[in-house]
Amino acid sequence: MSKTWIVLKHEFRTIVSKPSFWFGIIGLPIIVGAMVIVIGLVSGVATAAVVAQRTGQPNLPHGFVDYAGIIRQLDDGFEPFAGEPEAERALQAGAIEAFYVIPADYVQSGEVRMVMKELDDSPLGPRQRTDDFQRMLNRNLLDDEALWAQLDRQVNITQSESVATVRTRTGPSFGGFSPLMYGVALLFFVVLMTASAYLMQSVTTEKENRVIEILMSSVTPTELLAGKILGLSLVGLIQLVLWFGSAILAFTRLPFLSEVIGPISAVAVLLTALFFVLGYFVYAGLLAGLGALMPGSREAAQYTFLLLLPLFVPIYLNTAIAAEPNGPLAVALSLIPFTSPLVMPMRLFGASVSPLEVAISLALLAGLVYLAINASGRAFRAQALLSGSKPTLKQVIAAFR
Amino acid sequence: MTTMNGATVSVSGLAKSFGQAQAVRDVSFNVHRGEIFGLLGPNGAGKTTTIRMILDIYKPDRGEINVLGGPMTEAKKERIGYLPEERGLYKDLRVEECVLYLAELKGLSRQEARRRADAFFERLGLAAEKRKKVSEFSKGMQQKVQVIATLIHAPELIIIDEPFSGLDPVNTRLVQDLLLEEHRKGTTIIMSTHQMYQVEEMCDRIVLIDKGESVLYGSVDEIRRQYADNAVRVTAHGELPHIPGVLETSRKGNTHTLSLPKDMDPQALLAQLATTPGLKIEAFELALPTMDDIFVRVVSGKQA
Repeated sequence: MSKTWIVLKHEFRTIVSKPSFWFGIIGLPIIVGAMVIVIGLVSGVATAAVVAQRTGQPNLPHGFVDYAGIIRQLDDGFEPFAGEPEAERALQAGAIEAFYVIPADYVQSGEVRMVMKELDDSPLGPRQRTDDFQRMLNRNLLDDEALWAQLDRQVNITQSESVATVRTRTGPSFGGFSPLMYGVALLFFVVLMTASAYLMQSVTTEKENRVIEILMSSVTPTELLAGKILGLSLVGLIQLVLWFGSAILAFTRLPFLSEVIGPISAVAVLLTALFFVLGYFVYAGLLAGLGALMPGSREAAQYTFLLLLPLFVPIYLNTAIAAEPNGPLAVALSLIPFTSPLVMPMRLFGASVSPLEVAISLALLAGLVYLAINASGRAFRAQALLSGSKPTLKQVIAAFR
Repeated sequence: MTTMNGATVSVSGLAKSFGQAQAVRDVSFNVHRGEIFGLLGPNGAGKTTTIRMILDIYKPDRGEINVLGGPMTEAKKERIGYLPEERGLYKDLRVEECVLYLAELKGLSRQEARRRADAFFERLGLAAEKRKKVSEFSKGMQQKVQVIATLIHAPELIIIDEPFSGLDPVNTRLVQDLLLEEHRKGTTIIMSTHQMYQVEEMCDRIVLIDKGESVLYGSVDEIRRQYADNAVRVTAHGELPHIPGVLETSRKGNTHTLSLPKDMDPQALLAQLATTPGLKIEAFELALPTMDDIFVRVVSGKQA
């Protein structure tokens, strides 16, 4: 049996047998899900309480005084008053929530005055029903039920993907914030960081526990490095599949969430997995090399941040990327191989990306994988692995060259 | 299997530098099949670097190494058991899992590794605790596990660096017995140690490395004779007579050490003592220096 395969199995088994791994994999989504539900419930209860507090009792009608004589057909929830004093009395008595005054010259001016006890612009205030009042006013002005039915009908627009692009639909965006794009970036960030950290920990632990020399007498550094990278990439993939899969399941099964996210493309999912694997190889390779050079995890941690710094860039710039997924910043970051593992999946889920851009990004990333694994291989040598002293920054850079 | 010159391990003109530091300058020796060979030397002499070059962990700058019939290969690594001085185990792993992983890396199937590991655990009194984590074991128990991991694949060649360091007398005896048992089976053992009484007790031949060079090489008995002054040790009841020509006499209880001139034959002295009235001789032997004395003399430049 290949030594690489034995190392791979050992690394995989060691991590998945740890309760902390499964707590992270299963427990974390459960905790996050529970928090979302609790926050939703608390928020719902709080909203109902606020509504009840604002109105005293829910669903109070709105009144109106029609000096122009337009309203002949009443909609539910609206009550006519002969004059403003009557309407004012009803408002003060709590019989209505607000009332509208339609002036005699409404047709020329288009002005309507709304009267409430206190000015309130919040979404939960009386303004929430002004759209309904406007619809009732327009319907009465038109005075033609058939025509009104045509005008009032919701236009049904369907979406489809072009064969010339990887993704055609611009995902729902909330003022520059795309939940799906941000979710993908955050998920990748966490999984890449976790899997790479596992790898570095695995190398430094063997140095700290002084098992490394026994291993060196049985396997070559290349076999050891390959076994570790492949074994822990499997761990990362499992983490990604479970988290991503459960997220997709939740978003497609829960109506509210599916509206927020929109349809998810299978091509985008597959390409995302590819970007993840390549991205993992880059960062895992570099961290394994760093782990080989350092005498222990404490010393390695000082340099870890420097190596992982590019991963923070898309997280910090997420809003800018989501606001303009095909803008110069997003396109540049999705081509630069240090950031493309995070940014290209964001664009794939949030915008139209040409196959050429995807191909260039993948080619550049594959090139960096080659360089990173080679650099790591140079660092991952017996002399470095068996050394107990901390190298200088100059020596670290020289070892990777 | 042996090399062309009949040795299991053959090292010739070995040299290795790390940057400006010359760790090994010129080391040569042969290790014969089935012997216990001592690799001796003060700290920093180049012993560990030499071992690492034999195991192909480091590539030599110069010189030739043959192991088990030729240059080292990956397949040959499975026929060698190595216990380095800087040794440890995966502290967070269960003891059994740790041994099985290291055994698999030496070419055993998981089933065979488990079968052999169970036999070792049973023999060394660890069977009930094999599912505990390594970190829960005492240092002595961990040493036993390390020895199991070294021997589990029944290696033809064992290289063991400071096997008794940090062991209490009970565990020292245990490890010594295990090594001697392997020796009786015909396994070749290279042992690096600072404990010279263990060398005298266990090793057939030695090489002494100092400042990266082999400075002493041969069988333990020959070397002790080579470094012996012309002296005898006599254990007897009764007073020793005055013997003309004896340079110096010292006494500890009934044992007398007599330094003789170079041309004086110990056999003639024995004949003379045997005929001395009232003297009952219990033991008469050449007063050989200890390996400890020889080590100090050679390393501090007091070679005879």
